[in-house]
Amino acid sequence: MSAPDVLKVVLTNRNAAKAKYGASGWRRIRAAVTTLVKADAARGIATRFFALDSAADCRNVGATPITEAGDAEKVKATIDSIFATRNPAYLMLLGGPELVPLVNLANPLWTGDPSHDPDPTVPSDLPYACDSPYTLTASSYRGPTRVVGRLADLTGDTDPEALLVQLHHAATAGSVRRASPEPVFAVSAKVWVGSTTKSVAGLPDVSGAVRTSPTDGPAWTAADVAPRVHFVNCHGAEFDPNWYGQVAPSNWNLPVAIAAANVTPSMVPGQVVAAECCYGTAHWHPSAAGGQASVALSYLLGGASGVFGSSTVAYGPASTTEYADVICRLFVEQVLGGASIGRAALVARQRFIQSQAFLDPIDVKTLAQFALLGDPSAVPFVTGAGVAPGAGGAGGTAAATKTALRRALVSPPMASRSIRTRRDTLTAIGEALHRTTVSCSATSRPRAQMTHRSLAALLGRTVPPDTVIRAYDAERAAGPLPRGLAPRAQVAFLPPMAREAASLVVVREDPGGPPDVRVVLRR
Amino acid sequence: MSESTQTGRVSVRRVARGSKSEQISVVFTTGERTWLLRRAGAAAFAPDPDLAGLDGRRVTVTGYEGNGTFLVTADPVPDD
Repeated sequence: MSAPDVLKVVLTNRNAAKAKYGASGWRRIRAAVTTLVKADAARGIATRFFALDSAADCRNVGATPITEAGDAEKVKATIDSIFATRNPAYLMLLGGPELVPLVNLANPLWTGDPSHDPDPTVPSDLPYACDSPYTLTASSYRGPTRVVGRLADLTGDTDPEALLVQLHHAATAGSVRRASPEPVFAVSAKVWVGSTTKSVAGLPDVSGAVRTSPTDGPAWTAADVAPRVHFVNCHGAEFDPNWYGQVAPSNWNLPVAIAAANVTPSMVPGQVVAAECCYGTAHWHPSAAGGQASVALSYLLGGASGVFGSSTVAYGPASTTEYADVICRLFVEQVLGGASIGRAALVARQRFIQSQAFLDPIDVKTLAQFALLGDPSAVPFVTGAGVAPGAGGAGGTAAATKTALRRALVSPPMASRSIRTRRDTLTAIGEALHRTTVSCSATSRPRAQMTHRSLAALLGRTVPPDTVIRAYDAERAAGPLPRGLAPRAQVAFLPPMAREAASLVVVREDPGGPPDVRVVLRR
Repeated sequence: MSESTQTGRVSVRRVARGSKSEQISVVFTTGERTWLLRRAGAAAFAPDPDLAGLDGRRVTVTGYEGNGTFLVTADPVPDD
């Protein structure tokens, strides 16, 4: 029998799911997966369930069954075997880290002092999207080739309802015809409105003003959140079910911009979210927040098709766009162009890498930390055969926006052999990126390569004498570049000064060019 | 992920000491790991004077271990 043109693998650990949800809970989840398989078949996608702990499933791909659910190295090896033998167009990880672990990559920005960057590791799905060998060195995953998304459950919660709801949404998801312009719901901390405005302006053919917190939110109306694309550039924190605005860099009395408690069931049907917020897609027990799930999970339970966000502290500048801003914009750009959200995540990762002369340590963390929650085969927008009627008009008039928001759902596009062709192209791009991308090493040199005085001169501000400056050499996957040709990044965490917030400074030095100085803040 | 109990030392890191922009981070260090310390229900971004008051103390805390934050769900118990 020949392999199907468009294969989707739904992968989980059956024993871990049974241990968490009980036999009856597992039966309900398995039945919901079967419903999804049927719905996918109607779209031309052959979906296969794969249990990481099943001897039969593993034998079929030449892998050995997983005996410890948290063994990320073996999970990665099994996924590598699945791609080597079946080459699926989509991989959907079913469940949170209790069922399918994230890979805890070493954070290149970790200094040992959590008041700098608090993350010793970056929990990541990126290794599953790469065919390079397993390692905990984040910069080794510089050539993503695979479309991967995760349908996360609620960490620590033994009620399978969250997973069942999301499986139901995945099985019944529709698309809409892309409007021209397409309305976007963009929310920004007021201090970063310049950056957010630039990100949204970089999206093709969209409308909608950037809403700022304060004073907008968190009591958004149904009309406010009706646009199918949400772009959020706000603060976030671990174990915190809110995303926050900020009025001024030195004011840490942060107003709530988006509250998970306000994202109610059916409020965001089919919406897709790009969230720059720190810990936007982190997995934590809702009981840590009084029983309230994270904003990302609340979106997904409320019907959203996907959330693209960060597992850890993310970075971006206040008034320009770098790092989290860029990868989120690239993701939304692809979604608006009619990509599945899984392909959008893969292309965003690839273009993020391609857009840099070399990857500095913040690039490396950004690439590792952003991941997709949702069914990777979901297609929010249908493009091509005519945009939504009546929605035209440059700038997006109120009438056009209303028309666009009243669009009926249409069937998602039928999967065809062209998806396979596209995957082959993306695989080739990822493989080329792995070979050619120059990336900073995992650890810094023992001594800085820049003085405090020269850093202060570049920044035009005082650099306290106790500031530690770290230098990272860049190299190819195959090894170091010839002496004199290797780019370098100098990194320093600066304390707050006058009216400036604490920041992270990166001086990117490419041989032969002037230094590129970036000052970024925690999102 | 369930709650855990850890014993370690609390330290307060002050940046821009004495300035209008002074910020306080409360850090909790065990033999194995280092986290930012926060109480459940407390604002994630504002300093917590009660936790900061434990500066230099060895304490036992109960709560949730996050990637960067240990979320304390009961009053820390001094252990020194």
